[in-house]
Amino acid sequence: MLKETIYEYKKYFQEGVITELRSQQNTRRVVALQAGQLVSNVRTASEGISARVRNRGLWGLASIAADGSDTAAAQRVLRAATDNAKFMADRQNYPYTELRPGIIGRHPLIGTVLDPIQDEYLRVARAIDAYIVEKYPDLVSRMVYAIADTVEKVITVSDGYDAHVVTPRSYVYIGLIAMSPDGSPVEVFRAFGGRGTIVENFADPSALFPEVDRLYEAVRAKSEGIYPEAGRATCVISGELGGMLAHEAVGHTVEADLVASGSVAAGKIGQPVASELVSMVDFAHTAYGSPAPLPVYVDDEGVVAEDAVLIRDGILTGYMHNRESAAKMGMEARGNARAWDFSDEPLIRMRNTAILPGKDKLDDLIASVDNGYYLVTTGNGQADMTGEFMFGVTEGYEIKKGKLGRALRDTTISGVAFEMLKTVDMVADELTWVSSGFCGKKQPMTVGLGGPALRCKLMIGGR
Amino acid sequence: MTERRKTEQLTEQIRNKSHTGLDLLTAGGADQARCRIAYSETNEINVEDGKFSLYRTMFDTTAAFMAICGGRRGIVQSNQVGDEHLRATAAECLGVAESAAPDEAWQLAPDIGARTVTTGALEYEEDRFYARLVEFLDTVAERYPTVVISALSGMYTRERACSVYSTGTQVESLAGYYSVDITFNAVEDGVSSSFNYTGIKTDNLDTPFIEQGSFAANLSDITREVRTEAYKNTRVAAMILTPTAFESFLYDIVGNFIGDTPLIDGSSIWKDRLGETVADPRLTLRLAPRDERVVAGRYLTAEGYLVEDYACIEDGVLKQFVLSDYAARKTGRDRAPNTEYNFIVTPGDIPLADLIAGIDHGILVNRFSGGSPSRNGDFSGVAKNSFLIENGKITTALRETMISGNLAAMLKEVRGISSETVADGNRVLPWIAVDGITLSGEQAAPSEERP
Repeated sequence: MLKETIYEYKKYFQEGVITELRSQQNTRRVVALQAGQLVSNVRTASEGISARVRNRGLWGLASIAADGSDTAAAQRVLRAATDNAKFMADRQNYPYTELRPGIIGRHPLIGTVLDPIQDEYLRVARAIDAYIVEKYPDLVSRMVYAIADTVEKVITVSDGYDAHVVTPRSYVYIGLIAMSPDGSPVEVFRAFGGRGTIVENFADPSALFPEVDRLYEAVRAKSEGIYPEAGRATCVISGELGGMLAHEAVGHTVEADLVASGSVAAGKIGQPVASELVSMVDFAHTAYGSPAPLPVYVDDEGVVAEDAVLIRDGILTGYMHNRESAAKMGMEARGNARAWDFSDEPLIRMRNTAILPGKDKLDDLIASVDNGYYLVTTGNGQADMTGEFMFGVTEGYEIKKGKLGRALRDTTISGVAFEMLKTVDMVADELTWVSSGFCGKKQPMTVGLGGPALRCKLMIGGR
Repeated sequence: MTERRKTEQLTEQIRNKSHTGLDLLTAGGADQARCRIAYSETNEINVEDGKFSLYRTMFDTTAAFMAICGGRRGIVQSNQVGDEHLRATAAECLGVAESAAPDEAWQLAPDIGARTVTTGALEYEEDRFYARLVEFLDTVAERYPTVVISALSGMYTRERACSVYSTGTQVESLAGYYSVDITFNAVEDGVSSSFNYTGIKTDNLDTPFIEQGSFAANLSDITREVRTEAYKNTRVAAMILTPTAFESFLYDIVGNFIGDTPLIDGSSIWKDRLGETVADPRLTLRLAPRDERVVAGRYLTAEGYLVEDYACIEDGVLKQFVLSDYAARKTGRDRAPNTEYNFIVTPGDIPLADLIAGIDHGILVNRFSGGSPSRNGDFSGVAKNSFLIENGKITTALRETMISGNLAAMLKEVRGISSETVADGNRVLPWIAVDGITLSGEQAAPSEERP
């Protein structure tokens, strides 16, 4: 666990200069079984101190691989960051906006920092792999990964909240490959887990066996699956895809740095961008009275994290900011400035972004479609500042006369966010969260994605 | 103390630490082991929304340990290199190895002796680098006034390292390079194009950045991507992939058909095709980190083999699977001389303009945004930053256009490969034109809601 001695180094800050100092450790463990072979058995860790200093609107940052209690290292990065900011400020003469003063305080560490040994990861992965190979010998292959990462930070800033925070998360990824009658391999892949260590989340690996059974049924159905008909279709998307939609299609376009570059959300505050059934929030740490998947209490600029309401009843209500974009646009920073590694600068990032659930039942959504698709699982997604998005769909089914039909082979869906959201006419009442993987934007970042099932119109790829 | 003496001392310090790490592993019971110690300094100048925003300096160290104890293998990497940290990291590595099951396929390469490798730009020229970045932004503003550089990251990295193996191999390296990566879009009358991104890696500052890689072509293209039209059809057509888009497809082709994963699990549709024709005879694909056009390419594999360039597909014939030493032993096949994705595709003899002129109906794809292709090579996704080709001419920028096809089939349906190539310091690729791609757009598939 990191020491909190870095709080004492505030005495080295230059008076009147906006300064951030952060001590941080990231650890990651990976165990990967592929067809039963242990192809990866790795632990990585990085630890260091970074300082960021602002000079005439320009930032200097420096970092060093050092323990947070290394006074000389802290002084060195503060000096180097100051020099870097001066280098830039001496060469440019941009007009700039003063940042608003932050609220002073300190957020204590909640919970403990644990790092279970590698044996725990192998225990979980082997138990699940053994179950698959014994129960389903007809599969072509299988993959079982046990992965965890933990980020711990101690942050001290010139004018804001100091904080000691830790975010552990752990997942088991299961992939099954079956052969289709035409001789081509098909695959399904899912992640299970969330906030917490491998021991906390997977004390009993057999709890995942029913999920393996469900995945097996899905890969069998998919092996005899069909290709969807290419074009625009009425779709029911699952809560998992609803979360991906919230993050990729809408979330990125309302990050203030992308707004400044001309994203489709620029100038649309107060305007309708979705059906009245759609509301969307970037939750800081608590949603509906429970902890959000990956809580953020204080961001890396020392801003106390609050929820950011992005869409309310179909109307665009806000963007996500860091201190600088908030000052420039005359809006509030709510704790979205986040850095991944100790050496990284805070960027505007989402936290736990969700479309809010409605009042309909999933069964009613499916029953309402005469001819369309139910799309369940996504493998990846990408969006654009124009709002155009795409998700890879790895599990889906056709809907015929209100009932689920044949499974789909892998496909891709796409749309334009603010146009597609206006086609949403049914919103299910259950919120599904996922938090595995990373969001990519110069740096990786852990995020939570939440959504209910939605009925909407989408472009779907086919043959 | 002179600079030279300081450098010698640092080199000696890194060498000593790497041997200390190796000794800790072997003394702890590893019968095969590797330790790599590296010191790096990275300077990065950032631009946001067209303006300089941040200057970042990173001093980092790496201690990378690998231990094999009776066939049980563990890898642990840390960025702390103090003596106590080395002891802790070595112990952690031995513990991770101990947790594994024995697997005799984990083996190190035979001893290649002691070697020293120096490559790239070894001195950081801060003012000259900054001036080149200013020149780049000024050129973009002058030539492409509608373009917004939403993000630019200009970086100089220098790393001094020593890798030592229990076999006796010792490789000391010093490598430095510059890189420039941009994300950009164009805005007219408040309407934005899609974003695109590109970059280069270089070992010198002699040439303006705008003249390197795909910068000029991509920036020019984006100015014509603000006004777009939706594709209104579903049709099988031709597709030209730019070098950047071609690269993303090559990643999928290698990963799905000839890399470690599909061959270890047996799902590769090419697993029995070695020595057979899998692509158009005009296609030769090399993995070439030692090519002179690749900047600071890898020198040594993880197991300690010297990296060598080779063709995995030559004149359309599958010559070599891209297999690590481990995967080769597991599958009873030959180890690839490297597994680095420094792709070099032999250019064709048709100018790009003639490739375009030969297409009646098709699409020029700058970027593919799609789901991961299926194991059988099926893919579908959105054609981004792309243009319609009609009657031999590029006519309009497209939006909401999906493309789908099959990676293996695509390689058999090559119309032509351009004589022009783009080198960006990581790879050297031409444009490639293929047939048999399904384009689909706006028209409704049969679907409706129930009352």
